[in-house]
Amino acid sequence: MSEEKEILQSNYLNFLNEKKLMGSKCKKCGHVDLPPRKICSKCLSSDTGWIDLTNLSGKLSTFSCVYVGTKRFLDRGFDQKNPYAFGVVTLENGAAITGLLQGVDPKKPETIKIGMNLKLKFVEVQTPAGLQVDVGFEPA
Amino acid sequence: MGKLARDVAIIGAGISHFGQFPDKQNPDLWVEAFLDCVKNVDKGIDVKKDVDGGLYFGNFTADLFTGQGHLGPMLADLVGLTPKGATRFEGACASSGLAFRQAVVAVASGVADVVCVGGVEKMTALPTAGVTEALAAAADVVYEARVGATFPGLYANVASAHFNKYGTTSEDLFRVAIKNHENGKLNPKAQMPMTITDIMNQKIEKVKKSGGEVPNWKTDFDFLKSSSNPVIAYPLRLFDCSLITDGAACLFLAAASVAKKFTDTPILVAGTGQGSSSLSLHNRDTFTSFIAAKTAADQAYKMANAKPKDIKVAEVHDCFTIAELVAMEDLGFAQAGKAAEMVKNGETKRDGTIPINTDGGLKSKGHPVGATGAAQVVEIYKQLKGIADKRQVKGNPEVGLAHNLGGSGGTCVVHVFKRK
Repeated sequence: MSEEKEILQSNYLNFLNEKKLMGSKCKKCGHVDLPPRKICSKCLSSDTGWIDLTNLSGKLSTFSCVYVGTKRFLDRGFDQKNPYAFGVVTLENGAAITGLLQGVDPKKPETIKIGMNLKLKFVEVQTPAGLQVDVGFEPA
Repeated sequence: MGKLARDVAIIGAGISHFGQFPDKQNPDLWVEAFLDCVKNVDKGIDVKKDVDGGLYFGNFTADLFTGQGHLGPMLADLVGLTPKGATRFEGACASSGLAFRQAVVAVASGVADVVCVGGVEKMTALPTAGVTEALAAAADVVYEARVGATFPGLYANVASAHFNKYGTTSEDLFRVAIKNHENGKLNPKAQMPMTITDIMNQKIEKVKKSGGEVPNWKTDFDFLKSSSNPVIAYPLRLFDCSLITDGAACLFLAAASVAKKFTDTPILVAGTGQGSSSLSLHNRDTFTSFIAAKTAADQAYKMANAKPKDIKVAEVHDCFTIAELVAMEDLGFAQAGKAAEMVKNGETKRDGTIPINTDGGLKSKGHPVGATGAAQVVEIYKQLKGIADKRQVKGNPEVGLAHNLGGSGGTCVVHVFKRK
């Protein structure tokens, strides 16, 4: 049962690897935190549990198309000829998270609109440690 | 609450040359800034005897940039401050702003009468991708950097939000870069002491020499809109980004009661403030303003009994052009969304109502991240004493401000200074 796992960053990442986006929900005030927190960011109660946010829709709050990335992204084939887009996406319940934007054209930023509807699309990355799943979104 | 237990003043300030120096490491840069500072103490200072409080030092990440940690005692030893205490402070690009603030608090508390404050960063030992990676450690590595966030990328997110909310444009950002390069040209310590026009003409000359097709640029704007100013992270281009810099800065602080021993014109630290917020943008209520900056500014203004309109010269943290506009709004120089208009009207130029980044800012002077906060205070010290040479602001300014931002706004330190 996912509810029984402790709220730890490692468990959040383990859920991601199972293609689940999990936040935390405060049992006192109902506030949802993403990424999950042991201590509610709103009322500071430590009585929090997991909440599955995988199927929520979202809207693009802001974004950038990156032409000069970190070494890790260079190694993944992104460069000035092959930029990528990332941004902040706010889910329908108000929780927000940073993710890679897929199914958009980073070379045509004018076609990427703040406020556009998005849905989760996880990103699979091969790393020396094995398959890693990251947060990503695509147009809904 | 909210006031210093006794008055604290700056009695000396110095800076190394800023630039790319393959033959200079952190200790070399620091010693250069220290010697410049000692030279600038009007009545001289006996470091062994006078500096009873040791060293307060800012450095972001020599560990990642050069592989060297534990810089505090290493750098104190080189300038004769050991065996007194030596502490390194880390707050990303606000590291030496933090060190300065803690030094102020130490002197105000009475634990020391005179302290040395410094900052240093050697950045150019790594290739650009390595620098980008090291700087990304100031963002949330798991929740932001892992999905593609870089520092230009995060500030580009801020810019996209600002464009969307207020109608700010790339041209508005260009004007910030143009202004800061105009100032930097007058700063002999700056990394890129050239106007944008100078840089454009240099490129044209280069193309002419190589026999290529000469670009048809008539104005700075033509050049800045061209492929010679490539996109780094849309909407930010190369000339929206500050520089990758090696450099250091140094100051001496003294209790106001002993400051006259060192100079007849000490500059008072009238207000100090510090704020914080989540590292990640996604955990914030807004992307067009930094709550850490507003919090720090509010504290500093209140302590100094000053208002934004009292500030006659300011250093703000222009790590990216958009950051200067947001800083102006967070500091109350402009209403939200109105900073671009002030820049367009020339109000932030050296002869404007509120001259900003008279030393060229991070854009033209350079941005050795751990040294920047201290270097900003060095400029305000010079401006308020009237010793800023060619870039001196007219009208004998008496009140100045320094705004030092860490990461994408997770840390901010603001200080207000007054000539006594």
